[in-house]
Amino acid sequence: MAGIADPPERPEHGRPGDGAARREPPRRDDAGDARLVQRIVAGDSTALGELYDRFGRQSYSLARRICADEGLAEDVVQEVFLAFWKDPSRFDPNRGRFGTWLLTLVHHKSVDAVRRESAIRRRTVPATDDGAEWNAPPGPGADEGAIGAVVAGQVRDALGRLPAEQRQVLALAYYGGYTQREVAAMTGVPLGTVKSRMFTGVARLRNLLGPALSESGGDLAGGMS
Amino acid sequence: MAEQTVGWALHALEPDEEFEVIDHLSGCAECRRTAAEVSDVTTGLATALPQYEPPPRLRESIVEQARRTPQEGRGTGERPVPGDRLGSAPQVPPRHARRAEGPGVPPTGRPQRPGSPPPGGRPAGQQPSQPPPSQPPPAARPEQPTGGAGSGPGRARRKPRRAGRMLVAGVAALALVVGGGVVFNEFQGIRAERDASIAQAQQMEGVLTALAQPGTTHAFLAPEAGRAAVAAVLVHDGGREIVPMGLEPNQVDAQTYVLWGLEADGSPRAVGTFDVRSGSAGPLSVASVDREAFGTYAVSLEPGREAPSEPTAVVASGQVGT
Repeated sequence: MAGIADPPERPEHGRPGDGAARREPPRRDDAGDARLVQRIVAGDSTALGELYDRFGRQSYSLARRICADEGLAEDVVQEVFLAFWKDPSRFDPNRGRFGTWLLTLVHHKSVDAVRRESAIRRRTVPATDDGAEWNAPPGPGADEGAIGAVVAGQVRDALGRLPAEQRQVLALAYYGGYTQREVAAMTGVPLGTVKSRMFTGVARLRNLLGPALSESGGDLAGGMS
Repeated sequence: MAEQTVGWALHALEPDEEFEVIDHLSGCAECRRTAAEVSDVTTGLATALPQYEPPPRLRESIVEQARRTPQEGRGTGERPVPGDRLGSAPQVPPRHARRAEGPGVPPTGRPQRPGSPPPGGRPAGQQPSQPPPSQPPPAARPEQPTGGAGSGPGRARRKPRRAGRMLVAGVAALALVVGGGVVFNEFQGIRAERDASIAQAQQMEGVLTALAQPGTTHAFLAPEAGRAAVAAVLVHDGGREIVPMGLEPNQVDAQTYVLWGLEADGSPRAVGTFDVRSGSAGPLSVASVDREAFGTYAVSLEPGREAPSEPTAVVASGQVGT
């Protein structure tokens, strides 16, 4: 399995049976999301397909990055969408956007999956991860929606401005699925230092990105400030 | 605690730390807000990744399985993630969503590859119908909680390590706090563990209290030598009581526990029967007319409600201590 420092491989084009069914690029449409969620609450399974059209690609791309395995990523995405189908009430629209909740769940499930796999087959431990892959623009074939590209560019830029040691612990935890204790063991940094770097890194990112991502009600004097 | 909350929101804590944070979040609005802020940032981290188009079969598989999966709430084994609604009780789905047509399909299988028939033997996109009888039904129990990605054969789901956690009091009240990203079912499980620990402590207390009475003799019964005792027998004035310390509850309508005394020649004699109910913290009286003092006692679990002439399955035995 690839180490997490490896740049993402390019998508395979023209694989048999994988006709590139391009759907509309993801865009921020909270009211539309809410209507789809309502239909799912009412038991309309076709609405799940429409939600998938909005978030499936982001979900799959995240799961694929963490799992480093396309089949496992498919499993995770399917599990997440069906978990929401089975109990739509676990998403509370008063507490944030649907996309945020969904991608958080995708991250959790992907990490769980890769940890289960690694119990069987040890993951390659990367010697280093300086997050360089997010400083570079995505390679050809890595397709982003027009609006998504703007946010993605901002996030990459913000990541690039983090001190390397903060970027490293965040990358290992979020993209690699390693626990803080594992990160400490891999990097030779004390656990307490890993915890504080992670905290500071997230706080800095949040300040750098500011309103580009904020959806916590606009109160920026929150617990991270 | 804010540091731990960030770790939790990144899913980077060890299991024991996770539970501490979940506990803490129910009573701390500031940390809940921190968790929400971390989710905003991590969503950004997700969108910063190069985007890849998933295979079309994934969408088909998801929609198809949703159509066959009843909406019935989440499993109790699931931990809350940041943003989950508090007290997410399974909702009652509308009637039309509860169509039970054909065997359910677990929402965990790998999406069908092109060329292979989808679960249930019906090509995607056709009208629903009963699967042909030639199709073996998928080994699926839709009422089971989702078992993790690919938790089919060969991918066992790791159970969360929870045993032996003693929790602070007031867990029940925590489940009523609004807006904490903590799930009621999660608390049910934790509370059951806590209650079990309390019950066990009460049982031990019962044993010790009884042992302190003059004239009482006792025997600790274990599954085998060197193992922890699962019951204690207390003998006082010829009457016998049993204290279950680790005996599984029996089905009181179809099974009974039997206490046996061993005669000097090793032949067993049934002393009496008793039931272990969940949460019962003994000592339980074992009704018996005979007052004979035995040197060794044993417990067996028997089908039916009567003691047989000989034990069929001894679960524990032990000698009377001095």
